Formats: sequence, structure tokens, C-alpha cells
Amino acid sequence: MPLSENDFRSLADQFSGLARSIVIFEGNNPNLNDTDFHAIDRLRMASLDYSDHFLIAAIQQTLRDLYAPLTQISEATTKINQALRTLNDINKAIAIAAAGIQLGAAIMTGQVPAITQAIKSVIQSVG
Amino acid sequence: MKVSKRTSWTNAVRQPHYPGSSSRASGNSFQSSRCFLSILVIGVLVLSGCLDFGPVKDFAALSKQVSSGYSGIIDDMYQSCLRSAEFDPPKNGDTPETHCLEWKEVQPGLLHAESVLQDYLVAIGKLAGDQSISYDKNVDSLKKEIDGVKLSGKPVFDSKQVDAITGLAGFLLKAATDGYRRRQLERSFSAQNENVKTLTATLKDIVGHDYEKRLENEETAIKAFQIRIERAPDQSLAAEIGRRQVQEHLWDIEKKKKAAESYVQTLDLIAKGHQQLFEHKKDLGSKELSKLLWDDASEMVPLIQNMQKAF
Repeated sequence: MPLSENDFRSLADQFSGLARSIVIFEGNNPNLNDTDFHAIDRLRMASLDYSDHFLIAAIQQTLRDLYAPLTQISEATTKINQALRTLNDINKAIAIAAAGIQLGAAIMTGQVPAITQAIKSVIQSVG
Repeated sequence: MKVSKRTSWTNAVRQPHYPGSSSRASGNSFQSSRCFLSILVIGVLVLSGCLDFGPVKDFAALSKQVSSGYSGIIDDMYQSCLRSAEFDPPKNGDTPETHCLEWKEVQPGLLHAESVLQDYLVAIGKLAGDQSISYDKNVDSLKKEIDGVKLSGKPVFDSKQVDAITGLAGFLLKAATDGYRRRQLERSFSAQNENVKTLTATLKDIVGHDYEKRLENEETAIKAFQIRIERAPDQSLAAEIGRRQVQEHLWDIEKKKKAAESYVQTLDLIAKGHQQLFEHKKDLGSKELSKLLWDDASEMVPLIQNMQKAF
């Protein structure tokens, strides 16, 4: 069974804890000879590296698991942005309505130049 | 649905425009049209309701501010590894940069995960905000057009009539668009509540566990360096400077840990706020929801300030 992100995090915690314990041991034993000190300090460094390694593995696994929710939230965002565009269309429709009012009035006057001008306005609004 | 909404209010706006003659336009027909408009307005209001989405918008805007703190944290994951390498120089000829490369490589994925949440919140905020429709500008433009309608050189509508038409048109416009926005928001809160919970919980793990553990590892590297200084036979000024630098680094780490805790708390508030939006999706303009979101926002402000201090 593959390791889960929580498994990776648990391993990272354990190696991190081991490194911390080694530092406490080093601090409590100032009379350690250099050879022993360096040997144990190498172990501390390796533990920190392992901890980092498992932290990164946990993050990579987490990001893989997030794929579906992220996709769904992104799709929802796209839909909301489409709704915002629809609201912008409403803005446009108001302009068309306003131009339509002018056109109606122009038609009632029967004056061709006024009608032509009003039609142009409607076309501009729609465009 | 989009078309029918648009049709309903545009038809309403045009009603006074089908009088057939100038006398009718300014006479009884206008009165009956106004009456029709009033009935239509009441109908639309009953169906959709004029709502105040302000708290929803404000909540979304505040949640967005949390984003800058997060990018600082994600960048500091890599920086923390580099700082550790100053105290624990990498072996096998690695440079600090190559040693920490994996921390850099996960950055884009981590930033993307959070940006999806923020993009969603920004979109919610925009939809909840009134700025998506420029009511005043549109109504003013409409007023100008109606005011300019003339037959045989005479204005069709007097100024009171123009005010009445545009006033009702603006009212209708707001009611219709509010209803549309409310339905879109409802759908989003219902469909995304679980995903928002999952995403915020995951970001909490990344910051509350992974980042804090990286800082702890850095702390361990610094403390090990401190022990090496104490063991060194040379207790000169250089050693004293080293000790002071160690202390400063440890204080810096404490500050960053607190910032990470603040971020985790803001994520809790974002998830809680979205849950409240989900639970009140049918009454987004309610005072109760407004109060709940206001409380969340009040808690969020000092937490955001904490993050800004650290990064």
C-alpha cells in the first residue's frame, strides 16, 4: 500500500524529533570527544535531511490529492466570471434600450434622417 | 433565464414608448404604463428581493488579503532551507541552492493551490459587489435618452414623467440583477462548500505542519551550531558574534512561527465564513449572516497584521 501524506508527515516528525534529541544529547554531554561528537552530529544532519525529504514527499502527495477539488473550484470560478459577464451584458442591454427609445421616437416623427441616425445608434449599441 | 430577465426589465422600460401618439404618450397611457411598471416592480421585488450583499463582498475582500501572507510563507520554506544550510553546510559538494532545490520545486504547486481559493473568493466578492452593474451611470444615460425623445419638435415626456420612468427602471434593474446574482452565489456556496473545506484543511496542513516543521528543523540546525561554538577552543569575539547571530535567528523563527499560526487561524475563519454563507444561502442579505461575517472579519484583521509583521 502506498504511503499517504499523513504517513510521510509522521516520518518527517520522527526524524525531526530524533535530530532534536541528538542536539539535546550533545548539549548535555560537553565532554564528548571530537570523534564521537562528529559521528553523532553527522547522524543529526542526516536525520534533518530525512525529515525534509519526507516533508517534501508529504507536500507532493498533498498536491496530487488536491487535483479534483482544485479543478472543481476553478470551474466554479469560471462560472461566476461568466455570470459577471452576463451582468455586463445587462449594462449593454440598457444602452440598446436607450437607443431603441430614440429610434421609436424617430419613427413616429417620420423624418428619414432622424430614423437613419437612430438606427445607427442602435447598431452601435448592439455592436 | 438570462434572456427572460433582460426582456422583463427592458420591456418595462419601453412600456411608455408604445403610446401610438404624442397626446397618449403624455396622457392616460403614461399613467397606465406607470401603474404597470409599479406592479411589475413589486412583482420582481417579491420574487427576487433587493439585497445587501455588502458583508459577503467585504468578507471575500478580506480573505483575499490573507493571500499575500501565504506567498511569504511559501517563499520562506525555501529560504528556511537555505538558512539551515548556512549553519549545516551541505555535504557531497552540494551548494545550498542545489541542496534546497526540492523546496523550490514545490513552490509553484503550493502557490497555485492557494491562488485557486483566492480567485474563487475574488469572483464571489465581485459578484456580491454592486460594481458589476453601474446602475447610476446606466440610469443617467437612460434618463438623457428619454428626456430627448421628441415628436414634432415637442418633448414627449415632462420632467416628472422622465424621473418616474428612470426611477422605476433603475429599481427594476437592481431587483432583476440582485435576483440573478443571488442565485449564482447560492449555487456556488452549495457546490463548493466541501471543496473549500478540503482546500483550507490542506493549506492548514502545509503551513501549520510542513512549514512549522521546516522552521523547527532550522531551529535544530541553529542550536547544533550553537553547541559547536561552545565546544570550540576559540572563545574570541568571532564566537561572541556567532552567539548573537544565533539568538537573532531564533527570535526570527519564533516570529515566523507566530505568523504561520495566524495564517492557520485565518484559514479556519475562511472555512467558517464559507460555511456560514452556505448555511445562509437562502438569506444572504440577512442581519444574522451580516453579523456572523462581521465577527469573522473582526477576528481576521489582527491575524493578517501579524502575518504582515513577519513577512
